[in-house]
Amino acid sequence: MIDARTFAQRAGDLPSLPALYYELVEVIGDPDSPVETISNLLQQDQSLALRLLRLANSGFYGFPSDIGTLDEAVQLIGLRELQDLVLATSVIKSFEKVPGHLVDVGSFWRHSIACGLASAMLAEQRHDPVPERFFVGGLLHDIGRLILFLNAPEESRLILDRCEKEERLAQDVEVEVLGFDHAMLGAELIDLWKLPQSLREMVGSHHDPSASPVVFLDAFVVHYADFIVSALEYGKSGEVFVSPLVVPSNRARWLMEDDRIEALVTELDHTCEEVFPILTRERS
Amino acid sequence: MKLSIDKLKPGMRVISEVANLNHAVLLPADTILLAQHLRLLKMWGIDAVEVAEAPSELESPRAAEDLPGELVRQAEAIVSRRMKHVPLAHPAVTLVRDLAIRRAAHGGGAIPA
Repeated sequence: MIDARTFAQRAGDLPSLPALYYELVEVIGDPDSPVETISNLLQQDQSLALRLLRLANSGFYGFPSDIGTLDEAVQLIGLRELQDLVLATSVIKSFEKVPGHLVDVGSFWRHSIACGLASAMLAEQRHDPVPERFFVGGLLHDIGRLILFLNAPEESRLILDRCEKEERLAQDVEVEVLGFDHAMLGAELIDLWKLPQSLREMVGSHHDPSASPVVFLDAFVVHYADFIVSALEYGKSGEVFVSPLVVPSNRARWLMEDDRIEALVTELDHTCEEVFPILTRERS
Repeated sequence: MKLSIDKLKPGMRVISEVANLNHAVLLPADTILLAQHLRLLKMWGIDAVEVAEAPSELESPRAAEDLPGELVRQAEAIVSRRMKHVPLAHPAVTLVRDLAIRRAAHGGGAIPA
């Protein structure tokens, strides 16, 4: 058996992020970059530019008036968030080749997008200053599964069959079969893509946030969102059973009460319906 | 009633339009507040908003009480199997489980496949 890092490094089919994403990170990192430079860069990918505009006009933001140009979107959404949106759309596109016989790819992204949206909503309720950063964390939380489906299809089939037959959680069977689970593998991909450490923690500790003491809240938000969307069956990512919710005793105040969780689910339904086709379909 | 920005919650209904200093309307009357609006209001520097006292019409998850008992029992069996690895000790867990049962009894999620 090999560890998750070695598996990721040796994986023959590991999607990369487009050069445009890294160019954007560089331009945004320069405080002197004018807005036009950023929107010109985004215009290089018309499909991406169109998606960004549609997202800016969707219920995800809830801006009261239409945003007609990329310049406006850049100014209203904010640079950091724009960078995350480009990352989200790029990642979904980069995994187009995942075999459909192992996972319903549409259902996988429905689960992931719902987890991203729920993570951002939970962070908003916790008064996190930048709740949108949790959207990408939730969106990518199960990305390790896609790496497995692409690079270890036989083992993935075996794991899926054993989970169903033995009624067990995928992360436990993955460790038995591979020596690591999809969360660990996802965290390695985040490293290889040179994405921020907090994202690594959200992805790598989404089944056990207590393993991420430094940024416990970041990991817990994605963990809690994953629990909610898994229990309520917003799509499926290849897991038959819902994983337990880990609540350290001194953090119980972070859980939601009746009326707030019902409001969150209602809003999640509306926003998911709007955002899902924008992020996953070429033209819709 | 006029509520300060930190007292506003998603689902509340705005009863007087929210405008900036230049009188440009930011949120029209009758807007049902979403979490995103709360963020925008902070960003725009709005201190307080006039909202309705009664709960908004924002649709809440449908109740299971109006469904046949057999349908609810079937939904409960499906959800119990799916959540068999989840200890139910914490109220936050049972809350989500109850929502899942209501959702399953109504034929699954609200998001079309």
